[in-house]
Amino acid sequence: MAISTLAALNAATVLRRPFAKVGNGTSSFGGLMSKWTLAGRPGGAPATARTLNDTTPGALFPIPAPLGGNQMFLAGGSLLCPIQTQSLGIGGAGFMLIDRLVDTSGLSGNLNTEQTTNLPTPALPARAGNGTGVWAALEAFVPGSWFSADPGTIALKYTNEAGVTGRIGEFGDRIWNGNREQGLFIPAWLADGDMGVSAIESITLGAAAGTGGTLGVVLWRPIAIIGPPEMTYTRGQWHAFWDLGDIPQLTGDECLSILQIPANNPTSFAQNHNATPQSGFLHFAEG
Amino acid sequence: MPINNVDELVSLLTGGGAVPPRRLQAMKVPRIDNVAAAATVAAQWTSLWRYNGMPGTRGAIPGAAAACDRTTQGALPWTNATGGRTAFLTGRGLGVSQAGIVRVYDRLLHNGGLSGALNTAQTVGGTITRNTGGVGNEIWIEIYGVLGGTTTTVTASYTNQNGVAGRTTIAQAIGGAGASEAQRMILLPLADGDTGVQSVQSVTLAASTGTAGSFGITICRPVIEIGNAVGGFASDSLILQGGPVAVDDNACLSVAFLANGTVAPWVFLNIPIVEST
Repeated sequence: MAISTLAALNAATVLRRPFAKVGNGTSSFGGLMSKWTLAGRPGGAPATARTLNDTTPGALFPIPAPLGGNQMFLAGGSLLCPIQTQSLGIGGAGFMLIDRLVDTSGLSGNLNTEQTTNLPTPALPARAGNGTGVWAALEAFVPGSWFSADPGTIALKYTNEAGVTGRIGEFGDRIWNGNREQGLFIPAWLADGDMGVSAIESITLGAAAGTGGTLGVVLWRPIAIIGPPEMTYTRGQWHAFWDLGDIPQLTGDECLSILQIPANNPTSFAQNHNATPQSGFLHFAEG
Repeated sequence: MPINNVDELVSLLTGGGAVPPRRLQAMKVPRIDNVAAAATVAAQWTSLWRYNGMPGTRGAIPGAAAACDRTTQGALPWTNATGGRTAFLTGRGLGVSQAGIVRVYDRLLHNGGLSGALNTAQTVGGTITRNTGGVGNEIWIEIYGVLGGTTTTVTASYTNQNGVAGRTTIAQAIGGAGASEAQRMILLPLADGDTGVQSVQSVTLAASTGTAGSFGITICRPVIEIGNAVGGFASDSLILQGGPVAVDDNACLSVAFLANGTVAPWVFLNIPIVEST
């Protein structure tokens, strides 16, 4: 049942789980970076397509089951970015908390024909429903020489939330800027009117673009955006989620992971910002 | 106050309301019709109406003046309040790839097909269906096809919040660098003393910009804004920033971006919504 007061929320906030992730080796300005594979509790490229939950290696941590039929809420969190590498600040403290639902690997950056290795993706886990609100992304699991040339448009063929197959979307627009970083995470836009993705059927690069690499696709959902009100100089922060106007409810099966947006141009500085190490806690409440 | 205190907010956010809380979650990508969107211009507004997105929310170029609602292709996805209640935005989570300000607004009415090469009055018309009293509504030029490189000025003739027709906006530059590119939005300030707009009768350029291009008038009502000084993720509560923001049923929520630079942005939104009386 609902938690009726702030005092009750505070009293119910009894579970605190720490997490830590090292910095990405490199990152590039203006795109999403995934911390999935990074040390802390590293995930890896899956050998085959799979569904994910809170016990999958790479998830921030296993989520304790709520007691006695209670509901589980994210009540707060703290986050530290201990490295500030240039005088203007790094803007590295904000992140998007996501639930990874399905991932695959085995896709190549050096083919310009339709690729179906480990595709279509398996059925979504129950917590994702029919796919409404489920996003798709292309992820680079290891650094490499893939996309050393412009791959052009990277088309996505998918099944939408209504079960209609053969829908066409596209992964982003910035990947052909020579970005080949581990953790590069390129979300897809969808065809007009589609509300989500229930399965990915194939991808097609516009051009062969270097060596194969280790690429995969991910189906995921945003859970929360957590950051300071104005992204400027912050190196650490603590938020009660009600203070963000949001108290997300969890099923307990979510495969929690973190996305960031690099805030500075890596070509301008010795280190690449917003790929900084992060550690912190998430705080759970039962009600 | 519809949500009187933090206790009520906590209750609504944890399911204590008549309906569960929900979220507007969306992304806008700087791609339009499978090609890269035009560069932004520092200190100028860019419309993301036509950007591709997740969910699939690419808006079309409008024709004759038409009222917009949440079912108009291009609107961000959300559902109306139920049971006679009102929908309130309680937070604002933002991710943006470039420094700038993101505005979420209710797109009340739009038209297209106007020419940048005419110096006579061009008809707008149409009837808004939300906030019909007009207070708080704004008039924007929205450019769909590149205008000419000659700078001139533009005004609109409109009916103000008191129903007075024939009011004229303060002239603004149009054409030339920063005021001619596709997706550019140019705010037309209202005449002294006016606080809103019920309708726009026409728009007039003082001279040709040199190229017809294509533009239109959009009547907007701002909903929320959030700034980001360096790009990245940012969030905060609305209840601590003056209160939750009520959204009219059927609002056509859309996104505009006040750029700090020239790289077209990705934008991610996570906005909690609750219902209250």
